[in-house]
This record gives sequence, C-alpha cells and structure tokens, in this order.
Amino acid sequence: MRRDVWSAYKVPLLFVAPAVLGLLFLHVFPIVQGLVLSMLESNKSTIEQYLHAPFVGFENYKQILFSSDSQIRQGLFDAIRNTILYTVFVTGGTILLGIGGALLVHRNFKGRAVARTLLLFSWIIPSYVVGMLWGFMWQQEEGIVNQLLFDRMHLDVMTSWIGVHWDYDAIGNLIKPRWLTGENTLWAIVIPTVWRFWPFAMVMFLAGLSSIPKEIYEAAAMDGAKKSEQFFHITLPLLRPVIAMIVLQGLITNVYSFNIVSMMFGNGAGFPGKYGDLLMPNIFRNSFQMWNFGVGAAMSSMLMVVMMVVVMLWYRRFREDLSNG
Amino acid sequence: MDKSRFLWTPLTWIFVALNAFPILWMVWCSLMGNNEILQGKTLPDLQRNDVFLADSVPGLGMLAGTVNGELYLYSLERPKDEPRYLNLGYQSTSYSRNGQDLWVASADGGISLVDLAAWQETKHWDWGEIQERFEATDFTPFMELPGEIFAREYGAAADQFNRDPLVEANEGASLSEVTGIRFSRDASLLDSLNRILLDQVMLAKTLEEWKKVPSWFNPVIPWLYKQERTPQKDRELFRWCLAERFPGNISRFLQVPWTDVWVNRIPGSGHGTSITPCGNGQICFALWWDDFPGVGVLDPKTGSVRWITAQHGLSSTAIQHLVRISDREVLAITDAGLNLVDVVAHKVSATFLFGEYGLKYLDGRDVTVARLDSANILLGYGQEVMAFNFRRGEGKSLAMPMFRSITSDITALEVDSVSAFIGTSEGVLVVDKMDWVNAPEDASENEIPILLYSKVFESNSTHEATDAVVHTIKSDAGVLRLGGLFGFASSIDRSSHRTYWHQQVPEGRFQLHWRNYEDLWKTIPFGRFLRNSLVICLSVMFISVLVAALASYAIVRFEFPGKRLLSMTILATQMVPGILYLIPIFILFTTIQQYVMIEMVNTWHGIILVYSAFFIPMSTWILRGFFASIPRELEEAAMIDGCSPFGAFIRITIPAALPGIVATGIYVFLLAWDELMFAWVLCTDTSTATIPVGIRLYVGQFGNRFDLLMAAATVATLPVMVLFFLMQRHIVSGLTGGAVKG
Repeated sequence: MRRDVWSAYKVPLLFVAPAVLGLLFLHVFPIVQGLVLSMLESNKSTIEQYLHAPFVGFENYKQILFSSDSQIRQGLFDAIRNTILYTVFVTGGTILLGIGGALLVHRNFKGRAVARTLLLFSWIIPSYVVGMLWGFMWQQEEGIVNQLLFDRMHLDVMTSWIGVHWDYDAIGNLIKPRWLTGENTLWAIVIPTVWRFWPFAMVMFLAGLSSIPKEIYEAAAMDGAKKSEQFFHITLPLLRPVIAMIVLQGLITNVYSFNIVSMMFGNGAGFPGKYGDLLMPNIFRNSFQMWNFGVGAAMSSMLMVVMMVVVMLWYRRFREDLSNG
Repeated sequence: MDKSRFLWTPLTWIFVALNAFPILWMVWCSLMGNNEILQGKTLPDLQRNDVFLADSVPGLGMLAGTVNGELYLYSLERPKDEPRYLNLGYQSTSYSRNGQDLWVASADGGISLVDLAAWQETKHWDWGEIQERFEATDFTPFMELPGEIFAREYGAAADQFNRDPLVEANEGASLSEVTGIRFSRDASLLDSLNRILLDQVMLAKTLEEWKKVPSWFNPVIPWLYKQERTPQKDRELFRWCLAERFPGNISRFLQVPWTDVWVNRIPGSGHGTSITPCGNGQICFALWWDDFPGVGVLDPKTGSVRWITAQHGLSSTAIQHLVRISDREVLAITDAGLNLVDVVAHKVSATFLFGEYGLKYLDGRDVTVARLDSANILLGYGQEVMAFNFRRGEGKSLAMPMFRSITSDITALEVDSVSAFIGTSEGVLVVDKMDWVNAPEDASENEIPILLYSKVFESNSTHEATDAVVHTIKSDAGVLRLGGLFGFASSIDRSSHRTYWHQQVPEGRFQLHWRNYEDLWKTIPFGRFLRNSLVICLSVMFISVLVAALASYAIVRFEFPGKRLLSMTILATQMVPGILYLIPIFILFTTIQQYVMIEMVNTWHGIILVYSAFFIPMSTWILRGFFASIPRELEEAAMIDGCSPFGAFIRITIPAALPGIVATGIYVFLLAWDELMFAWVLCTDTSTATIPVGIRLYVGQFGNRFDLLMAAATVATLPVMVLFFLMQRHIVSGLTGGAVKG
C-alpha cells in the first residue's frame, strides 16, 4: 500500500518535500514546543534544561488571567486595549483611504501612472524606518509635525477662535502637544501605520475596481442614478470581497504589529508607554527582557487562540462575499 | 468633466504630495546638519551669517568673515561695488589674522590658510589628515606637569621604584632591580623612566615581571598582553601597568581621546573652534569639545602636529579660547580653568582652575577673553569681568558700573594700548584700561569714565532687539572694527565717534551636504549591517523561493494525498503570532549550541534558516497564482517529447513563470528586509546584526543625532525602493491576483 502511494505520487511528493520539511521543523514543531513551554516554568535560570524545565501546568495562564497582583499583568490591560483600538483605527483608516485613493487614481487623467507609482512610495518603506522617521517627526520641538501645525500654520490661533484651549508658558510661547507621551501616543502610532499600509489597500481596490464592468455603470446612468448612488449601490457591494481580504490582512498584521511601535520610542530603546504599548512588544518584553519564556509562550498561545476565533468570526461574516468574488 | 479636471485631479496631486512628504522629509533631513534640525531650522530658510572676523586689509579694503566660512572683501574706494567673495564652505569657523595670512579653523573643514593678497585658500589640512598625525603620535613619554604637588612627588615615587617589588605581595624585584637604573629623587626621574620606554630590553624584562600579576584592575592591560606586541604597544602597556601598580601623578596615564564624528560637527555651539599663530610660524588650534586631544601645534611647513593633552596637565580638553600671549606661550581657556601652554618647551607651565586663585566658577557660561599684557588677561563671563594675572595666579573682579543700564551679557572683549572695549548686545562700551583695572571693585561711574557706542551697525534691519550684538572687536590705529550677529560689520572712527563704514554681508546659504552618509560608515559599522542585511535577505530570497516554487507547482499541477492538509497548513501558519515561533526557536537554538556545539544564535546560517522557513508558506501561496496562470498544455507537450516532469518544470514552467517568480522573490526580500523581531533576538552582535538591529545597538551613541538616523533610514530604504520599482507591476499583480481571487 505504502509502496503504491510512493510510486503513484513520487513526483509531487518529491516536489513538496523541502517545503513540508521546513513546515514541520520550523513551524509545526516550534508551535507544539511553544504550547509545551507555556506550561513550563521556563526562564533565564531554567533555559538550559530546555523542555525539562519544571512543569507547572496552567500556572502561567492563571497568572496572566487571574492573579491581579502579578508583575506580568502590569500594563497588559493597556496593551490589550491599545491593540484593539489600534487594529480598529488602522484597519478602518486603511480601508477609507484605500477606497478614496483608488477612486482618485482610477479616473483617467494625465500622469495617472506616475501618480499611482508615487502613491506606492509609503508602502515600500521598511516599517522600522517608518517607526524611526515618524518618531523623529513627532518630536515636540524638533518634529516637523508640530513645526508645520503650530510654527507655520498657527493652529493654536486658528482653533482658539472655536474655543479650543492651548497652554502657554511664562513668556507666552505655546506649549506644543507632546505626541510621544500621554494619550496622544495612540495617534502617533496609528497615523504612521495607516500611512504605511493604505497603498496596499489602494492597490487591492484598484484591482477590484478594474474588474467591475463599465456596462453596469452605463446602465445605472441610463436609469438616472447619481454618482453617489452608483458608488453606494454598485461599487461598494462589488468591492466587498476586497474589503473582506483587507479586513483579514488588517486584523492579522495589526494585532501582530511590532516594528513601528518598537522603533518609534527612543529609536528602539524606549518604552512605548501606557497609551502606545501593543501586545507584541509587551509579550516580547516579557519573553526576552524579563526572560519569562513560559509566560511569553502562554500569552502568545492565548493570542493565537483568540485570533483563530476572530478569523472564524471574520469568515462567517464575509463567507458569502468571498464565494461571490 | 470640469469638476474632474479642476477638483479631483489637483486633489489627487495634493494627496500624492502629502503622502510622499515624510519620505522627502527623511531624505532632506539626512542632508542637513543636526544643529539646524535641533534648532528647528529645517525648512528652507537662509542661515544666519554671524560675522566673526572684521578687519581691514591695507590696500585692499574691509574684510568680513562669517561663522559659515564665507569671506567678503569690500572695497573702500568704490563702496557700491560688489564685494570680493571667497567661500570656504565650513561651519563653526574661527579666524586668526597674521599679516597677509588668514588662518581659518572650522569644526568640519579642518585648518586652512588663506592668502588675502591672492584671495585664495593656499593650504588646507582636513581633520582626516590631522587624525593621521594624531594616530602617529606617541603619548607615552613621561613629562613634567605644572604645580608644586607634582614636584613634591618625585621623592616618594623614586623610593617606590627603587624599593617596592613590581608585583605586589611578592618578594620580587623592584623596578630599579629589573632595569638596573637607580632613580633619583628629583626631576631627572622622568628622564630615567623615559629611558626605560626607549630601551626594548629593559621594557621587555619589566613587562615579563609584571606578567606574574594574577589580575589587573584595568581591563586594557590583559587585553594588551594578548595582542601582538609592538614597541608602541609595549610602551603603552608599561605605562598602564606602572599607573596601576604605583598610582600617583608621576605615573598617571590617560587615554588621549579622538572622536572624529564629533570633530566634524560640534553640537550646540556656534563657535567651537580656536586658532592662533604662535612662534616660528606655527599654529595652535583647539576645539571646544571633550573628546579632542587638546591643543594641537601645527607646523605649516612640514605639516607635523604636536599635541598638548590632558596627559601634559591640561585641565580639560574642551577649550573655549586660545589666547596668544607671546611667541612661545599660548593661554588655553578650558571649561575647567586656564592653562598656560609653553609651545617651545612643549608643556603646560601653569594651570589655574576656576574656583581657585580668585577665579570665579564658570557655571556653564561662555567666556570672552582679551590679553592685557604678557602677564594679565581680562576674562568676561555673564556681566562680570575679571583681571587675572597668570604669572602670579591672582584674580580680581573689576567694577562694572556701566552695566547698570545694560541688560545683556558681555559678548566681546578687546584691549588696546589705552582703552578696553566691551561688546554687548546694545553696543560697545569704552573705558580707560588702567583706570578700570586699578579702580576698586565698588567704583562708581564717576570714577571710571565710560563711553558707549550704541547703534554701532546703523542698520534698518528688522532684528530690533539683537541687531547690535557685537561679536568681535578689533582696535586698529584709532579705528574700531566691529563684527556682529546677522552679518553686520562696521568701522567706527574713534576721534569723530562716527561709524564711517558699515555693511551687512548676505545671509549664509542653506547648507545641504553628504557628510552624514560619510559619517554613517565611519562612526558605526553601518557597512557591516548593510552587508549582513544583504547577505541574509538575498539567501533567504533564493532559498525560500526555490522551495516554494517546487511546492506550489506540485499543489497546482498534481494530485497527491495530503494536498488539502498542506494547503490548509500553509494558510494557517499565517495566523500564528511570530513570537510563538520565536520563543521555542530561541530556546531550541541555545540548546543546540550547548549540546550539539553548533553555533546557531548570532550566525548567518541560523537566521537564514529561520527566515527561509518563515517565508516559505507566503511565497508558496503567491506563486500558486502565477503557476495556475500557465497553460498545462505547454508542459504536456514537452513531456510527450520525452521530458521528465522535473525537466518540464525546469525548461518550460520556470521560464514561463519567471516574472512571477522574480516578483515573489523580491517580495520575500522586502519582507525579510523589514523583519525586526527575529533579528533582534537571533542577531545581537555586529557580526550578524541587520540594519534595524544595528541601529538599535547604536541608539545610545546616536543620541538625538537625527541627521545620522535619517541618513541610516534613507540607506535602509534605498535598496528595497529600487528593487520594488524594478518589478512593481509583477509584485502588484501577484499580490492582488492571489487576494482578489480568494
């Protein structure tokens, strides 16, 4: 029997063998190991014992979930809240900008190809560079954002007319907002991430837009549908599969986002703070700076389970669209 | 139609510009100096062009030199003419005039000699050349330090060298017994020590004896012992050992610093260079920067540089001013105190620290200084002026009744044979030199007659509050030459008290330069990080695309058991957080290292293996789309002609799918280039660190050097930018094709 399988499928099995080996040894095996590790007390002193570190059952999970005074719990809630907000804002912003940008460059105009190419610029920048660059741009005094908004455009004067309050120091100079500390941090990480990822959404939407036949619009125009009606009743429904894909992409990449946040604060040396910390940097710190591998593995296992549920929900929500598309 | 043309199309371009702005900003800042970035002068303004040299050149006209290294020569006969202009293009420039010669020192350009008559730069030594001279200098010889305490130590040191064993707690030989030299209790002790340094045999014997010391406190010593030995290293070793075994002022040995990135740009100081001619046509120069050796003495004829460093007794190497006292003496004013440097004898002959000898503490203030005579100087800081005798070490605060109405700090000081001149932001004060120096400290304005030249620059400029800040004063045969902020220069006739000439030099140009990119390779091993990134990402690209191409081809073309499982696994791996692989892989690697003795962490093969495996599922998924679009009939035809399945794959399918494969490869390259978390853990030292990890490793050294950071970011972006735009269309179609089809 085995011999039969081998001779019948020799060629394809040989073809996939390297990939299967790679998957087994560097994906499946580490994940199983990670699940085991999450039940061990694996830290700096027991790392040499490998998988023979003391078995503690679900103690790590319990610590994370239920022991409110545990050191591991510090900032975990903040990280979870930030991750959720970050993912929602980034995915939403990416989709909005992506559709907008795609509609803008889907039209026919002179230099369309150039505009499309230039719009892709921000997508190619390595994300650690995005973190460094925006970390510089957000600086309170040296950063270009505050310089443009307040030194050049005098946003404080403009908005004080509508009752926005600004603080001034003793000599009457405006105290510019701090972007990298306090609650602003969330925006300081959301905006660069949207900037980095929206061209990808635009590319996807452009592909989706170009697959919509022109005749549909012509027929709708004949029936007297306005442009806005055409958008909401034809374009948007037909783009739903694309939106579904981008939502999935956004969920996965943003929940697992690491580079931008970890490079933005002190160029990789700093702590993102209460409003800027995400789950990945948090788990990373727990694992590789506090050397709690067991806890890190437990956290990431739980995160994986949560993500599976989320992806399942996603699938149920968008199942019909995907089969249509 | 119109709406599209006049609303949407411009809007599109605005959107494009806004989106590209941060990238342009990154490149822009990488071409700037950090000082400008920190001061917020990053938008295209012209630079302020302060005049640091105002002088007249007989027969030629009036000379103005700016902090940006620009020289203007105005003709007196034809004041309407355009000035002659010479652009040296340096920053933080200071000048010293010596007849027709103008010596120029700058923080980035080095040292230049300008021939004023010929109106050109005739000689130039950049910091690189001066660094070569520095590296060739031997700092080990023992030398006499200023001060009585030092002189008193000869006796004790001689006793130690004669009597005490070289190795502590060991009844072994003393330095005297090993070398056969009897050390005397006076200054000739230094000559004896220097003789040992020059004698290979004595040196080797001593070092052999010191090898018996079980452990040294100074980590340099065991390191030097392990190095390949050269006479120079032996001398250093001797000095380090002696300094640790017999600590004291005589044996004291210091590392003489040189940090060349900081030489290139001095932070936070507009005027950090000093230069002055001293005897025999030699030139003394110094920087207001701690990591610089000290005072350099350059011989322009031979180009040789001698150094007077902290090792010679300089109280600090951050030197604010050099004041020429006589042909053989220069006074160096450091952050810590005053040092009288004897250029001919090549030593520091006296040191006076702030806070001692009646000198007031500096408290971080800038000093202005003027030479009174061969024994006295005037020191101005804040609103105070001191007269200080550096032969006897006596300081005296001078009365300052003139500052009752003036609020600014002293910005310049000058003395001629009769008068003293004090520059402020409200003009120049003139007092009789002797009256002032001899008056009691609480003297009133009546006892010291004061003349104030206000509105010295007669400008109509808009810089109201600051347009009279006098930066440099030169008294010259009844005429005052003044240079100030914002490019002002003027000449005042002392007899008529009239400003008979004034000019404002044009604003300095906005300076963009490549220097950050040069610094990047010199100061941190960025080249190595770049090489690591390239090697790792290219290998990963080849390996994972090769493996993925085989697998995806099989998935598309063949039926085999487990195909569905394989596809599902490939998709599922994308949903697992990377850190769930990383933790076990890290532990696995350390275990392998320990038990199988194969290095895995901090090696190329380790990270390449991990990355390749990591990107195989994704590339398989993308390649599927490309292979599916190739008609099956092509391969079938080839196989009928006698090709094996593998042969058909290689000869037919791969060439047909090549654009897709290349695009996938580049996409993998982009992702690998962008990876930080794995590299952070698995490549932690310079031999394997990729660019992001390298940047992280050197964060402390970067500080807030935003210019360097942006240069690093630009270099990190460039390769992926180029690769992407080469294969843009294919990458986009590969990604959207897979995604849109579901």
